[in-house]
Amino acid sequence: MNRWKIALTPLVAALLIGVFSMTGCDILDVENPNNLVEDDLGNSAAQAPMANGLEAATTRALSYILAPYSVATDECTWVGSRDAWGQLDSGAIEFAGNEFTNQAFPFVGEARWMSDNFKDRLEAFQAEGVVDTESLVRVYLYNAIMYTTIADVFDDFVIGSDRTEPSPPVGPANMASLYDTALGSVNSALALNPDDEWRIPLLGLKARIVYSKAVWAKVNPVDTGSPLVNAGTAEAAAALAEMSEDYVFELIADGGFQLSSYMAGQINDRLEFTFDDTWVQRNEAGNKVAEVTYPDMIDGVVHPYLKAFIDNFVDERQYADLPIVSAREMHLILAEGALASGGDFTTHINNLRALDGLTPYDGQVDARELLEESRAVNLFLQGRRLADMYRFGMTDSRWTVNVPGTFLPITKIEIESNPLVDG
Amino acid sequence: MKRWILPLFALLVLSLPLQALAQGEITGTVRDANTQEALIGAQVVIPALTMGSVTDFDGVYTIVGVPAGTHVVEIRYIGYRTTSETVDVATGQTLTLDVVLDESAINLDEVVVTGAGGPVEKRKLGNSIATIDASVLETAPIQTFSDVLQGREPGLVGLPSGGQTGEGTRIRIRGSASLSQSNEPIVYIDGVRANNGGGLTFNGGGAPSRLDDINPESVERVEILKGAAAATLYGSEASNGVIQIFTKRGAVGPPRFTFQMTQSAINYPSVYDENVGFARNAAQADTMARWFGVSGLQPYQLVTETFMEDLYETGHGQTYSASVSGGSPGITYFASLRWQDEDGPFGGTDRRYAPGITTLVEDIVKRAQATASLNIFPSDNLQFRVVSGYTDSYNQTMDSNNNIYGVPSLAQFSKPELVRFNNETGTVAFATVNEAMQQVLEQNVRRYVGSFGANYRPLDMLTLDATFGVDFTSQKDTDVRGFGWNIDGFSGSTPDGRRNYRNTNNLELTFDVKGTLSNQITSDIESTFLFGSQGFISERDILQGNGTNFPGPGFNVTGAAEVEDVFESFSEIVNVGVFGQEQIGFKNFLFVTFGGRLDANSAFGSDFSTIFYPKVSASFIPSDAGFWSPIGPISSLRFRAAVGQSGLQPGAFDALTTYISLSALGGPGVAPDNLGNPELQPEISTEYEFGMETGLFRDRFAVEATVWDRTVKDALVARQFPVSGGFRSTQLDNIGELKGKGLELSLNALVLNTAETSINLFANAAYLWEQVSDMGGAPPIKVGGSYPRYRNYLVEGYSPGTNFGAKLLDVPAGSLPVDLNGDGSPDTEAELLALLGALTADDARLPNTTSQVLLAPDPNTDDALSGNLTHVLGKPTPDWAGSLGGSVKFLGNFTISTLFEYKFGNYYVNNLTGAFRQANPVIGRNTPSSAEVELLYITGGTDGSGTPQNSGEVRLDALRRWLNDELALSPFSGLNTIKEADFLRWRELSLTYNVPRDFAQRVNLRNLSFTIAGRNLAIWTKYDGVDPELNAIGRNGSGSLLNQNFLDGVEAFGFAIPRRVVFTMRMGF
Repeated sequence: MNRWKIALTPLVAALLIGVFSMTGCDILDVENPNNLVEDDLGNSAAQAPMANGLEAATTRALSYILAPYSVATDECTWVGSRDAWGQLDSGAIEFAGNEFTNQAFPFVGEARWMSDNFKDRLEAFQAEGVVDTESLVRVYLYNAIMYTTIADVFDDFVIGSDRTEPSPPVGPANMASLYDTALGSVNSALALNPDDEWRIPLLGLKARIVYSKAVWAKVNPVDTGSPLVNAGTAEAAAALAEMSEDYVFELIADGGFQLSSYMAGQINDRLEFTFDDTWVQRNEAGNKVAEVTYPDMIDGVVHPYLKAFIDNFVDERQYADLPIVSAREMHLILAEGALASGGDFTTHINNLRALDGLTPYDGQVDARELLEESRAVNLFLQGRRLADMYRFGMTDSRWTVNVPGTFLPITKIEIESNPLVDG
Repeated sequence: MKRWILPLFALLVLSLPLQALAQGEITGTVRDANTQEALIGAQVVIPALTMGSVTDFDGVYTIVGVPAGTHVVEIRYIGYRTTSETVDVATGQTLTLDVVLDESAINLDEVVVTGAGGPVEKRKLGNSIATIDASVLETAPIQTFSDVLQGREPGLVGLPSGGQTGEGTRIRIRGSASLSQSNEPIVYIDGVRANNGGGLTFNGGGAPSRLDDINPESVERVEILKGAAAATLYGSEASNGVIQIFTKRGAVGPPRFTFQMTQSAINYPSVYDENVGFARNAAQADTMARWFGVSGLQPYQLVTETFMEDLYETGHGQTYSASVSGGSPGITYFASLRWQDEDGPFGGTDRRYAPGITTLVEDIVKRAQATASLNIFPSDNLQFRVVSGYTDSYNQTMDSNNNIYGVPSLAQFSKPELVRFNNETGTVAFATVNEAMQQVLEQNVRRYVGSFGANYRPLDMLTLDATFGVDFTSQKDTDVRGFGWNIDGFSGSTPDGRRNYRNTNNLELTFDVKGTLSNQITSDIESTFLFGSQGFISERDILQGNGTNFPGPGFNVTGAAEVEDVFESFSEIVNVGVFGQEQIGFKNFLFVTFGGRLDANSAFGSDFSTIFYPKVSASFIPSDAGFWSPIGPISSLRFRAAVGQSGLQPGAFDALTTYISLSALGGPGVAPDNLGNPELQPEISTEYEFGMETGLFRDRFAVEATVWDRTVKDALVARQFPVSGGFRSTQLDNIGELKGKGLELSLNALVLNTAETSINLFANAAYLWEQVSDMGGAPPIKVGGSYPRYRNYLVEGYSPGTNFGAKLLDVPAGSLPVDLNGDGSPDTEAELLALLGALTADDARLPNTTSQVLLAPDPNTDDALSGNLTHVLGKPTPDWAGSLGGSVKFLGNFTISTLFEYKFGNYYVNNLTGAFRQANPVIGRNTPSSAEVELLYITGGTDGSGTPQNSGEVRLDALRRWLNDELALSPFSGLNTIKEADFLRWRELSLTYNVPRDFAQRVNLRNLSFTIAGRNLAIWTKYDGVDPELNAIGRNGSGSLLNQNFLDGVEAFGFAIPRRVVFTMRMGF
């Protein structure tokens, strides 16, 4: 027997073990070009991407959560196949297992967390003196939009959870505090002296927040006896002074950067729900808009703004934009404040009506009814309708089980994964 | 490890016998004892000398260079009892030894490779290993490789999912060994790790399996390891078992050609409920009368249409295949070609199209497959092997399953009362059936599997073997709606067209080097030591593009569209392992094996480096021991026991915290993606297996039984953390435990065997019990996310995938679980009679809210599930699954073979098709029974002219039917939906005529046969839906791994499994 043959086997074995141990380290270190890792966010060049990502996440969250919200109101109605829309349509809003509320909740949670986490990161850059001011202003703005929206549409929410660490719910009674957080962010942003591009929406949002907090008090609990609020008027006047005539600040969905609106996709593409018969005439199959029909209560003509809004919403298919702050809303805040306090309602409401070339108001109809209608039309699909319906004592003809004052709940996905939330 | 190899090696070498110089020769023939037919390929060996030969086509063997002296010669052949003869060979003598072998139903001497490290007889392995011999399936109606596996082995289940042309089968071995990772077994082709995926990217139904790329006629045999006890040497990927495919090889001899041609006819069974509806008013009745040609139709008169079966046609398919094999002593070869094409049983051409419009989509599959192998033997102790296979396939199919644009879904949603000039079946929403048939799904696949291997035997006792291989798949999926696809102007979705494509390049690189030292330490004790290293690199590269809104007709590239979107992703997994194993044999009746594998994997977390998987097994064959004396009819007996571990690694990048890109008007941005977990490690499956095999009546009856018990520890659970914490996606965590156990039984009987007649029967059964024993504190996982119609859950204490849902409130006799009078308690029949009798056709509507219909409360308020949708409604996996059948040869040249497959015992399928069609107020209530219930409830009965009678009794009776048979869907999810699904399916039947050999030879053919066969001929089932084997998700159809694993037993708008009749002509020359 050759000696070399005898030596061969242990050699091979040693070689194999060697191959494993020597190449093990390098060969196992595979590339992941698909994603960014945590450390990369510590780079100051990541500030604008963080602001942009938050903008997109905010847009996405609103487009998801406003879908179940709008079906629950008299703005939209279910025409498709998925029964959970039907439950919302019938006014069953509080069901934590509703698939569409439950589907939207994580997007809202994500955008809220991003708005706080990215705010902290950019404030840290600010402390280091390397902040990108515009990005920080934008992060404050989106943070304020998220907190305002959450307070507007939810009965309760979980703020403060961080990654795997849960936080307890805010509690239904404390939800108004979210408006204070939102206001804090707006003030922090304004303190950075932003350009008009960001200053004007911030001023408008400030008015909206102050006003909305007052409305919140009218629906928690519901007070149909004295539903009007006189709040945010000074802020609205200040914002209006800087806004162009029909100014609107929107979150933009667009195919160019592949950010679609979930709500628009459900209405225009999937045809799962559509606009209620109150506002439109539907096509023969009943699942699309044939024409906008809602008349202005004074002129009797199809309301020009609502028609333009819905027509544009349909034309945009799944890329319809989401209005956040508008000159129209400032007029509405001022008009309501005036009506509540015995001020000059007529001037403010006519400033609004003039935008659409409608006949000026001079007592043809009840002032409060005109305010209600003007809010319904000019804030259509903006996530304000449910509070208005509750405080003005309105119901949707499809509601069979609605309890006034009910907003969206903390949903099943959060309840099951967060030990600090009770089922 | 190194330290003890050298002394062991020295010990083994020193005990080598010295070679004798004086030599003789042994020759002879091997024949079947009953039929006297020559046996081709029988092994004749002298074990003590490790020399031997194989019989040729005439059953003749020759062993040359046999040392003079007395030797024991063993003669082995698969399917026959091994026999041995003692011979005296003198120097220079040519000894003639003719042997006859008895057929055997038990086969302990069959040589297997998979999981054993090298060729070894089954008798030496303590674990079970199943083999499927493709040659016995020659006459079976097999079109794809999935058909080769389906119903052959207890414990291996093929889940067809649907009956679309080209649709693939999911494979499960011993249930599920993972809660979060793929439960498909891994697949090797000639030692090369193969792409075991599937899918169509853009649709759940009709999804092909990559296993079907394999040419079934190139397969020689398949070996199956069913779990960790057998698959330890495969390491961090083998918890779900291993399927290894061996392709055919040439044998020494002149070129031998085979040619085979098949023609198939395929049709769908008539199993769909008709579409039934009725007009609510005279105008509607007039429209229906006109479109359906029913003159004098009245309101409230039921109209029955067959919109689903209108889509049928008779499909046809054909295959042509040819092969050549042969070789000379230094080289052997095998090459084969196969062409398959099929235009399936989906037609749709009879629909009433708008003028000038034709249907676009068809159900077509075309496959061209080529394989070649070459074995080169430069010397006695060196062998090189080269194997290559290439497949080019094309598949076209339609949208289907739980898809609102699916052709079968829209046909089944259709309500006759909604018929209109531009909506000829009366679909309610989304698209018309005609529009749905303008959408085309296609898949083009090019795949190459190749390997190079070398086997070197430097010493008689030492074998070194290396295999390097590659499996490259390029798969292109497209989903196209042309410009103006909504030809009826009905659908609102992307009217200007849309094209989606995805290119997936999948590369699997394998290396496997090993050495085997075998030695006879003493005359009683043999030792086989195996050592080696194995690894793979798995790369997946995806490029996807979507384009929406074409400027006009004719464009069909994404770049032409207004809105364009690209997506690209890359993933890579590297696994490297070393393994060693020692097998000690004592007197050929007791064998003990122990060994293990050490693995490192790129998907493990940064805090975790390597893992070791051990195994031990023993095999004891008392019937081969010296002390054995036969007990009753027992002619062979073996006991075996094995325990082993293997793992399943997490996904490529699950361990990392990552952010994904998300862009807005402001520019490109980032958002949270993966939470990350640096401690991530493989989940570890430990499996115990005990088994016995016994042969009775000279091994003409064989019984095999195996019990197994598996615990998966550190199971990877896709845990949902609070979404308020920012990360929406679940994160894998090693926190779970999953248990499974089972029993596998099989019986083979060679009832009769003469030259003219033989009868062989088989039956097998597998029992499966599974439980999620620990979720590590993670919340229950609902399959299908928030979608309420899928009811499968992962919940601690239940079988994975168990359905939970609603039940009606238990009410006292004389009451119904409804509260229509709003008094807060169940209504009595008297109350209901009064109330229902007062309704009119204008206001009588079936109750469908939870304030009207009362549900039973949460049955268990202390468990992890809350709410009233948490009643256990059954599991989607049966307790028992198996098959039975046999073959009968008669009149010498005719053979009938058949196979039945069954599943039963606590087996439930979610009849979602039925739930929609029974209950949905918008797109349903169109089955014969639900339309009738709705009609009776609305009208309270009608007179001859269709006038409502408003009878309270009729309405009460309809209400009972509504509650107990029809009411379903949210908020009653699961009610009247999850159905018993036990079935027995007549899977295969074939009749073959073998042309007598002397006649065949007169036309210069070696053999010639004709077969007529049927597949899926009939089903007997308790299930009241379309087909219990359908499943919404298909073969890796779409959705998450969670859905692919546990969205099981959900029938949703798929095509039924079709019947197929195949005519085959086979010849060899």
